[in-house]
Amino acid sequence: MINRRGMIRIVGMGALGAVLSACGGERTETAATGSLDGSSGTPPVRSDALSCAVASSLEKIMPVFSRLFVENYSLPSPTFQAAASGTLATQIAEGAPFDLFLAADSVAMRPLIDAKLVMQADIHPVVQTDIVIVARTNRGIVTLDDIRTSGTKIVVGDAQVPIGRYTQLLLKAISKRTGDRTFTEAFTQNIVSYEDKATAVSQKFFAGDADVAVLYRSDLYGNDTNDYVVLPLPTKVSLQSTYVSVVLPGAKQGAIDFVNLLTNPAHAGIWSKYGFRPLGT
Amino acid sequence: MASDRWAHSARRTTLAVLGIPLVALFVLPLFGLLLRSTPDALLAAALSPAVTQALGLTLLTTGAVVLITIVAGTPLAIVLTTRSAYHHWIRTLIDIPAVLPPAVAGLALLAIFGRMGWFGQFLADHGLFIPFTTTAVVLAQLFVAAPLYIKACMIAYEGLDPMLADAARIDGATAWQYWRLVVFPLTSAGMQAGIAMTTARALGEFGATALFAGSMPGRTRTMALAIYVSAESDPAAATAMSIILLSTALILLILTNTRAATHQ
Repeated sequence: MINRRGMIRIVGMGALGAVLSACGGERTETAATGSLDGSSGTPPVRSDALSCAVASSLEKIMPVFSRLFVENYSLPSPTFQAAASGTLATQIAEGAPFDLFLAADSVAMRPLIDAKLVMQADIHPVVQTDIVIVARTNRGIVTLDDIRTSGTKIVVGDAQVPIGRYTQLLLKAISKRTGDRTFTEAFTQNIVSYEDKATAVSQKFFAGDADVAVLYRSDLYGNDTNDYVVLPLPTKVSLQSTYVSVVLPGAKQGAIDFVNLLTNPAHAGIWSKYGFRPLGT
Repeated sequence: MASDRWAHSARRTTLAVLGIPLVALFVLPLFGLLLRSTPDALLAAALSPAVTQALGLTLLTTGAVVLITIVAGTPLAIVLTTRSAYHHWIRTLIDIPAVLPPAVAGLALLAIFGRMGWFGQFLADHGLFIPFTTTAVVLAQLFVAAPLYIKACMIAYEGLDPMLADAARIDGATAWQYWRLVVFPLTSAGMQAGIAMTTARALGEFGATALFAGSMPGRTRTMALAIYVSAESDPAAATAMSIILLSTALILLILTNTRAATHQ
């Protein structure tokens, strides 16, 4: 038996829940022009604006290129939807109306090729970033060997997402280079979470709940350099993630121009400032 | 007489027609899931270690949440039905976790129990670390799901006629007899509805768990998290896992609702 007051309460709770839940969500969407740090306000989204799906680790830099795009091509400011590359690929394969897709690796493009939306030849590299192992400064971890200490809390990406695939490659490369096969085992034993995207890894690391994380160097941008140390890798061990782009079928005017803007050598400095490695450097 | 029946029937039909789109919205996506998978894919998913591990963990943590909720939530609901000066404030505070976006719930839990958190620092000094553990999963689920049970219980208790207590006293019933023979039989349907809601909410909890407990197979990766991660690279497996979770939820809800209906 629910009385009238109870009913009102349930309805009130539901309404409040619906409103608050609408504030949550896994993805973020922005239409950005703004200053170089992307901090200025967001204008209303225009229907003729380019709609771009971007890997979550590119979210910080996109407003900068958006501003350059508006300046150079006199077209409306693109909108960006940032999420894990695999999630975006699935959404596009299911019909999400994007003009351009920027993924954290080429493997993430597979659903689009399988759905015959694009061909391998349509996929082009855009930029790279180093894969780094970082440790919190207050944990006394300064070398890779320190990671072996029992109780060290490591957060990495799941093997099903780009940052996780790169993490596995990096661990293999370290073990191979050093000839120490126990390193990967010791490292894996200390992993406390396999996250579903790069930004989730960096969130847990920079919140202080993890001691060590494997991240893109670009994820370090904007964080206090006193909080973390990038651990030196063995000589000749170096791994870069390569971001790739694809212009989707039926893309609006300007999609190719936007990709050209991203890969223009004149803008290498912008990429570098945000921790990326422009192609050919 | 016949025209009354016709009017009644017409009213019911109109109401049913108005409700059909909503029912279709609830049901069609679920059928869509079923149609998208194959028996082979379902069987393969059901037998995969990733699913058995995630499902086992989900059932374990959900069971723990339901148990803790009943043991601690029932007395709390009883207390909260008693009027006091701060009664409205406390009730509102208890409602908040259930209506918060799950990500906010996760951040809030980290703010308290995280290593840099207010209470987490104290715990860490004593060698206790909650984030990234199964305990964190239970806490996250408890935080978002328990208020639903407490709320349902409170509504059930408030629906009781106050004269029943007087009548029981006049008839010489002890307090225990009054609760056992009057209150529990009359409120058990509401309590079971609360259990069903709490179970369903805990079973599907995602956001707070992802932020607070992380995603470690066998330790913190519940079915909801396993489905999300799998959707990244293997949507077919994610669909099969979704059907398995859906079936589990359905079985639990049918069991609870059947018991509630029997009591009514």
